[in-house]
Amino acid sequence: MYDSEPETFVIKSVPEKFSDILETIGVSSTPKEIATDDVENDDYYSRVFSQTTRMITNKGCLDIKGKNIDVIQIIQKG
Amino acid sequence: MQDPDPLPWGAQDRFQAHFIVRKNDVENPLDYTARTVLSTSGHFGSKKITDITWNGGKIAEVLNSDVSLTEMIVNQSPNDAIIMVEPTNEGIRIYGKWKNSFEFGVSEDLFQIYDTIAHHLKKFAGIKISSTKSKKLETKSKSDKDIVELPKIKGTMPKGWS
Repeated sequence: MYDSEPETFVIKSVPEKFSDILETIGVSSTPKEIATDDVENDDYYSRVFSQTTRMITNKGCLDIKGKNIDVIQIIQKG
Repeated sequence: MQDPDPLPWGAQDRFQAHFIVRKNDVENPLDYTARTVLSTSGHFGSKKITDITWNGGKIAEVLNSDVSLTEMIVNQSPNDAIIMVEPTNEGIRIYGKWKNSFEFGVSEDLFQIYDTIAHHLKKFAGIKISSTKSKKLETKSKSDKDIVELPKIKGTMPKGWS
């Protein structure tokens, strides 16, 4: 038990993980510090569609470069 | 007595990525609201999309007129083909269905779909568009080149293999 090497891993936030996924498909992005973007400080849904989730948690944003999408926000249900 | 079936609490294992085009003060929010309506065949695992139409405001008409976008969405899974476009105070959001942490991510094709929708949104809203059209064509030709036919494996299994 004590002979084995300790498992080492890097703790990453959800936007950082998502940024890695985007990198694999050739999209460059920069994960941002949580609650630093304007889109995080307002409603996440317009409530035009019925049955949109009421309780949500903001997980942070990513800035996208060279695409028509300006920013990606990750949210979690509950 | 302790509740034998306690209610779960806290954040769930459900994630959503909102692909946002920045635009403040949308004049008529309903114009920028749209979602896909799927026509499907089959059930459960063999469920396939036969056609999609955009339902919503003026932007839905714009998105319906893009045949290549429709083709791209038809090739997606029924879950990924459900796409919503809706404006909020800080920007217009494009998003799909909730996914658990294992499924959560985005494929190249799905990102291309979201980016094309963002292109149409920017054009419709009169926002400066980045040059993705040429990049889109580049990636398309590149993916065609990447397809290499693998040689067919011939032969029989060794004796005693069962």
